[in-house]
Amino acid sequence: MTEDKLDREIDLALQDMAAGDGPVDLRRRVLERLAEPPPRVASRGVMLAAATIALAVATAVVFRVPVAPPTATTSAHRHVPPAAAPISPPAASAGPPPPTESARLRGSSTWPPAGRPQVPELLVPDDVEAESGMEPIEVSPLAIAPMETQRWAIAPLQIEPMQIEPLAEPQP
Amino acid sequence: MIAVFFPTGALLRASIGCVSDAELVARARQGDTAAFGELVDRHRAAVYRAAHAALGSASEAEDVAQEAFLAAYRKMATYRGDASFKTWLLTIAWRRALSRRRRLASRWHRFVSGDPSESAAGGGEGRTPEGALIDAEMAQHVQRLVRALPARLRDPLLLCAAGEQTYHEMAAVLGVPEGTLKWRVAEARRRLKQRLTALGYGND
Repeated sequence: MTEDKLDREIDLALQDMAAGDGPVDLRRRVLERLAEPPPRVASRGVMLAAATIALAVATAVVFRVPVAPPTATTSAHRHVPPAAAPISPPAASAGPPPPTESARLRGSSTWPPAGRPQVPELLVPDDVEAESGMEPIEVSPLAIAPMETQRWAIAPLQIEPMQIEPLAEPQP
Repeated sequence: MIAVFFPTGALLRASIGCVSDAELVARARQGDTAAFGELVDRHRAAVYRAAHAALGSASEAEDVAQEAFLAAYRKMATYRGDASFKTWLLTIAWRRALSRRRRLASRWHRFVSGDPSESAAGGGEGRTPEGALIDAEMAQHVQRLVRALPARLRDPLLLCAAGEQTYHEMAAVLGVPEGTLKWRVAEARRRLKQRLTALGYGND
């Protein structure tokens, strides 16, 4: 095969690799796109809406009312094994919880009063002790002695008078 | 009685067809989309082929050609007229094609490493079936070898094959001196012939 033939084959292959006239309706497609409103306007609107939603969600997350702690483990739950008793917040529509043992022991407790929102009962040391069999840690109040600061007595600077004797004349 | 004739679409197009690129550009700058449409028609093939040369995919080349024309219209105010409008347009198309090629690097890698079935030509009119088969096989070899060339040699070679641009215009598109462009094209062809010969095609 001569070099001319090689050149010809290369040209044919190259023309094939970069051939074509492009889509016939390119003009129409380009002019249609030019007639469309610039996409930046639409994207700006979308971005603005997304930013507003994100801000609202962030605000809600930051300033949300703290969720009531899960219902305290009370004597009402003692019959349920700990592993099978998931902690869940009280249902909003549920009525007041049944009186717990500690509440019954306290007797005259009227909490929560009728018509007031339900507040979960906090753990009391008696319950904890009874449930876990561990003695509660007693925290003794810390006695912090006030810091003593020494008072500095600043005495005025005293300059002692100096006796300056005249120099003796040099002896010849 | 005075008769007033309004040019029909065909007449308007025919009249625009006689106008130079520079005049169409001036009209397009003033918002005349019909004038810009004429520019699209005039340079559609050159822009598409340049994109095809860079990307090796007809569908990608179509997208890039469209994007290039849209970008050219929007940047029309920046066209100073130092080079011809076609060169300026091809430069935009080439840069966009290279940008897309970078994004599609993995697909380009497949193209370079060779799947000749995508663009192998049928050709071979008036040839015997055996001759056509040999030609098709050789075309596949050449295309595979072209794809295997380094980009700095492959791109000028394909861009030269893509259109009727002069070396001066292509050098401006690629951003290299004209002498460098000529050397790269010649070097690419030399390597191709060397490898084809090594494959046995040069020894009849």
